[in-house]
Amino acid sequence: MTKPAYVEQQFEDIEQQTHAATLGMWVFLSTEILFFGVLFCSYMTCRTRWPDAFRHGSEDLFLWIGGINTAVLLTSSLFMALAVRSAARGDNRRVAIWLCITTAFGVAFLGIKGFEYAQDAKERLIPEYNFSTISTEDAGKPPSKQDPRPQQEQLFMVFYFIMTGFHALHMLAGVGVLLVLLIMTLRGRFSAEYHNPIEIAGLYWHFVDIVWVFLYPALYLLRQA
Amino acid sequence: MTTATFIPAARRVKELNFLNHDYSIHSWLMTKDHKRIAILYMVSITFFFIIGGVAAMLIRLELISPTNWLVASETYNKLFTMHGVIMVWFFLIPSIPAVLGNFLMPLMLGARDVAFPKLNMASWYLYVIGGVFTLVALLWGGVDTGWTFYTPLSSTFSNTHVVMVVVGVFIVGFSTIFTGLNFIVTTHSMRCPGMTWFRMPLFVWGIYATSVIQVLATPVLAMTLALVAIERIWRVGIFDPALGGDPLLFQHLFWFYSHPAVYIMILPGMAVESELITCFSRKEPFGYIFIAFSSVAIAILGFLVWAHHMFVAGISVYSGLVFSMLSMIVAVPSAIKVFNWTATLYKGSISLQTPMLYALGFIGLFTMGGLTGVMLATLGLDVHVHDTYFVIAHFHYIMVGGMVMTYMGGLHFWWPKITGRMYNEWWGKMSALTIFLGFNLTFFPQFILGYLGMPRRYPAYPPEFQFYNVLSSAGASILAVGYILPLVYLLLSLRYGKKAGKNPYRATGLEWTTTSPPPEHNFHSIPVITHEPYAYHLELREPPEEQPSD
Amino acid sequence: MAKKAHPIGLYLLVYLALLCLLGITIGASYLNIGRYPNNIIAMGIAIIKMLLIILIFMHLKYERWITWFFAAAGMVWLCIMISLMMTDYLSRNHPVNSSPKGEPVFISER
Repeated sequence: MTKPAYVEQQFEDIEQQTHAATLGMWVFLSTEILFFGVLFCSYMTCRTRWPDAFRHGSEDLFLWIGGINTAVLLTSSLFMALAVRSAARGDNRRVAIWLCITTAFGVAFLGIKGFEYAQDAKERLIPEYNFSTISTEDAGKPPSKQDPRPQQEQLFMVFYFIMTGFHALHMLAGVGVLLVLLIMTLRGRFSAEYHNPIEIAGLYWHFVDIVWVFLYPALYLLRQA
Repeated sequence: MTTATFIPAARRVKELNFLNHDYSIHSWLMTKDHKRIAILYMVSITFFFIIGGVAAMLIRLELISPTNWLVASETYNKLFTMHGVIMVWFFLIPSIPAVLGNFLMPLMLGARDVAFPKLNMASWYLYVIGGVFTLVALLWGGVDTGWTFYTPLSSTFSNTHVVMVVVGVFIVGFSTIFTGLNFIVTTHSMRCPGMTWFRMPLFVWGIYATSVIQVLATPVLAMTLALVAIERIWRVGIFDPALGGDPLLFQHLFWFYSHPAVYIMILPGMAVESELITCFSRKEPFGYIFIAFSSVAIAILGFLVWAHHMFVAGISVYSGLVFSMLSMIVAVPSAIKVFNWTATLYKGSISLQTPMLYALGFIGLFTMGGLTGVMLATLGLDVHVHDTYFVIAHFHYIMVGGMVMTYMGGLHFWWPKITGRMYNEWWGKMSALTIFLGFNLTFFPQFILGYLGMPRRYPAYPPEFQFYNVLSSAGASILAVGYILPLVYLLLSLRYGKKAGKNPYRATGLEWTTTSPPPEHNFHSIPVITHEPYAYHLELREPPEEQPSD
Repeated sequence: MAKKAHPIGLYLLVYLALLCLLGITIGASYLNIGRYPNNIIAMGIAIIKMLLIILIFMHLKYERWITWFFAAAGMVWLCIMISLMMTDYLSRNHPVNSSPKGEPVFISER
């Protein structure tokens, strides 16, 4: 019994291959949970030790830029889900359109992030580089009216840059994967019987979204004393 | 899938197998065949074992005298660091899973290959690339932080090539993750018809449990080392108290990986042990289900005990109490396994061939290592012997006396299957005994040394410790001979060894139903399993197929 | 391996729910209700959003139990890491409410 070309030689049929690939991607996502988890764990322990400084750090971040970015990423997730749905129906044209839009939103996220980093630099929040305990807002005020940043806020900013930085790297990788899939779709490699790569790329994309769903409140929203 | 090339008259028929169907370098370096990848790993880890072994010899040579007679202290630091880094990440962790696991898992499960053969290949390349980074760091002057990379030495103060070694370990970590991922998916989705979970060999259970640990623990190491590298390059202060960081945070994160890592190292050894004990007692394992579930229990419980490495580091005493209690609990599944192997031996038909010698040595040495582990888990005792040679002896009993013995045992047991040749049995037995003697002479005195108070990682020591140190170094030289011998006779067997049949040890298991060496795609047709594993009671009635050479 | 294609409506509904939750969580951060309630609400909403994405967008609702197991394993292991590590940090002798007086001199303060 000959197998279709898209079934690899170690598998008996497409179902076994699909099941294996999907399970493989979920296992990989578990590893990513622990990979990012180290950052969340460290962040938490440092927050326990310097609650004041970290609250200050949250306040200094641009809540609305982060909020818009969250909405952008959630929207890209929606279009990714639509792409997977269209792939399951074999509608290659729609798949290409949805993948395009998803990628566009992903790139938008990265662009907004870059803009935000530039704003952080302007506010003199970069640790070791240009961190200043006096914010630009306070610079014009007399010393009695200033609210200086605690030294440990640098540690907060370290976590902010590392966590969002690793997240951005994963987004970049995701954008790369989506572009590859887009090209493969345009070349007609997928069908209703064989579209598993799009599904598992979708899993990866949603996962990166979930990481941001936790990053955003953890970094930007914990502002209460 | 074997084809016969017909040559007229009295010439032999050449059977194609995974080794001889293509001899080109390209077919080896671009292979997706799990059996060839296993051999690639075998060669690579032997290479690193030799380097790590040379470092060990230099260490033991230095320790013959109480003064710094051979190397300066800074060099000594680099020696034990590289010994640890290479032995842990480039030898022990890949050894059984990447070599024997890669070779045997698909065969034992009745599959044609692992689930993701290209990822398997990528794993080997990642291993090599990581190894290159580490070797370059070694040649460029080494690293002196200890294999544990404690901060703030590694992140702030060390003047050696920490970042390069850390990058190497980061990369080889992903090799481990992908191998584990591959085995997990293979076990779940590629078992042949009739192969239920409880009909799988115990080797598969052990490798599966190892893979779960690999997949869940190694990412933590990867990120932790990344943070060390970031701190080193940009001086950011996560682990630096002066900038608000906590050096103990590194230790928590590091040991969260590294304690499960020691289970990554020993579980495959236990997996092999189950196969060896059953075959050479001609008996099914006592308590198959208990051994299988103990593997899984060790994998899970192993994640809950990491701070027992930090009892004197500055964690709160309440935390220490919690981890001490959890560490006692994790000894239980290991003990269950030892009891079950011993019970398997009871009333079995024991034959003392080379793999069995290694297996028996394992039971004794692993038990000693494990018991001393429970001693170390006791808070009060650990305060006295932490960072002494007692700890070193403990983990070498498990790693060398346990893991390396079963690696050697497994290598000998499956050598005929992998290469199609039998090795010289007399030399095999001699090496096993040499290793056992050399090992005990090397490491038993270290228990005494540690208890008497000799600290680890010191090249110079008080003269009253010299006697035991000399004993230990003498043992090390015997141990070295014991490891060199197999290198010689196993290689010679490739040319001069007697050709092996399908099943020279009359063992059960699907891998023994294929030719030796197996064909490229493992099975002509996928087998269907209808009976329980380890059916040794059935085998006794059949005439022996072939006697192993003596 | 979900072999039912979801109606677009379900996806749009989940998407709108996610946006609403985003708005709620931003709004809640402005409420002056104390540190712990604020943190719990923020993380709680994040967990709900995660569940929506994972169950519907990632089709976990329709996957086999073994997939659930591995999806959960990562989270469970992360919880183990955090909770056991916090046994150390929370039982240390740290003043909790503000930076301790008598802070060490910082190297960057030259």
